Amino acid sequence: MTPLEAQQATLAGEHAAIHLYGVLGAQASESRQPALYARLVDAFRVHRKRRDQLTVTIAAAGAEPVAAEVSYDLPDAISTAVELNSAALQVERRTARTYGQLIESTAGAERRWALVALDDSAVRQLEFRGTPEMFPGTA
Amino acid sequence: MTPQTRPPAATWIRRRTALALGLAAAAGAASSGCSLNNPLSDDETPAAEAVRDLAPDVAVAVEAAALVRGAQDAVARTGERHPALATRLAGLMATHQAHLDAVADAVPDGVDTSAGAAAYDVPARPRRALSRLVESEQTLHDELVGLALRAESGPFARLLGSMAAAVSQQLRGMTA
Repeated sequence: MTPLEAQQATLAGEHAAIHLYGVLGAQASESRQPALYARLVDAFRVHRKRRDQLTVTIAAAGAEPVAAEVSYDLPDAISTAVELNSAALQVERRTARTYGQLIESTAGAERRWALVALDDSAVRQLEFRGTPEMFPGTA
Repeated sequence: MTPQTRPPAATWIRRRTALALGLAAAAGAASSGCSLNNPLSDDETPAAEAVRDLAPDVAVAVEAAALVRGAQDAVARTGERHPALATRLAGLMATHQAHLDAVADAVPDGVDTSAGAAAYDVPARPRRALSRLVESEQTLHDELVGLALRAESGPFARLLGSMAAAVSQQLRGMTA
């Protein structure tokens, strides 16, 4: 995979993550689940920022940044706190794998950026009731 | 904290694949009788010279192994001196061992990855001991990120980045 292909794949993943976090945030109750709601909103903002950074990077390379899909498949159940945490955890695990691929396909400043993103995603998994892994972002 | 899963790394970092470029150099160094030990020590020693002759990623792997082994030693010493902390550190210990296995599996035969780091002094008070260990793990994390940036092999860079992220997860558990 070329660096540009990996960046486009990562951007596509971020589009999906933003969509899903938007839905999850809408399902969470700010008054009844303030901590979970805050974690979902924070994750949404982080992924949106990364999407914007990737869009700029890809455009600066002279390519057309991949667009978001019209809609994405949603988890079957996203009503309870357990279900919302589980869905967010799946998002972060997929994101971590995407950034693992980006690390593999890039070098220098682009790899450094991907390393920071993988780190953040791995730690964020714990906020959504994930448990530590031996090799986050690899499977 | 207990790690969730056993590493899949061996399935994608295949022996002699990620660091295949280092095979010839490593074999040459091994056959010359050099002991490929700690590359972080005296630059004038035959071992250090041998590491310099290795393919870049093999030298990175040797450095990574030395760093992780040193961190593992620090965790073990801390647990021995403060048994009350041992259970809390079990996941960290297992993570370091998995990382050591993965790095050792990625280098060609004949490359010695058994070098350790300097002796680690454990503070007498448990809280201070834990705090010192957090500092040690943070340093390990930063060093692994640096090695991931140096790695020429993409899959090996991913492995090192993943190891750094795993240390970050453990650090979160230690400081929570």
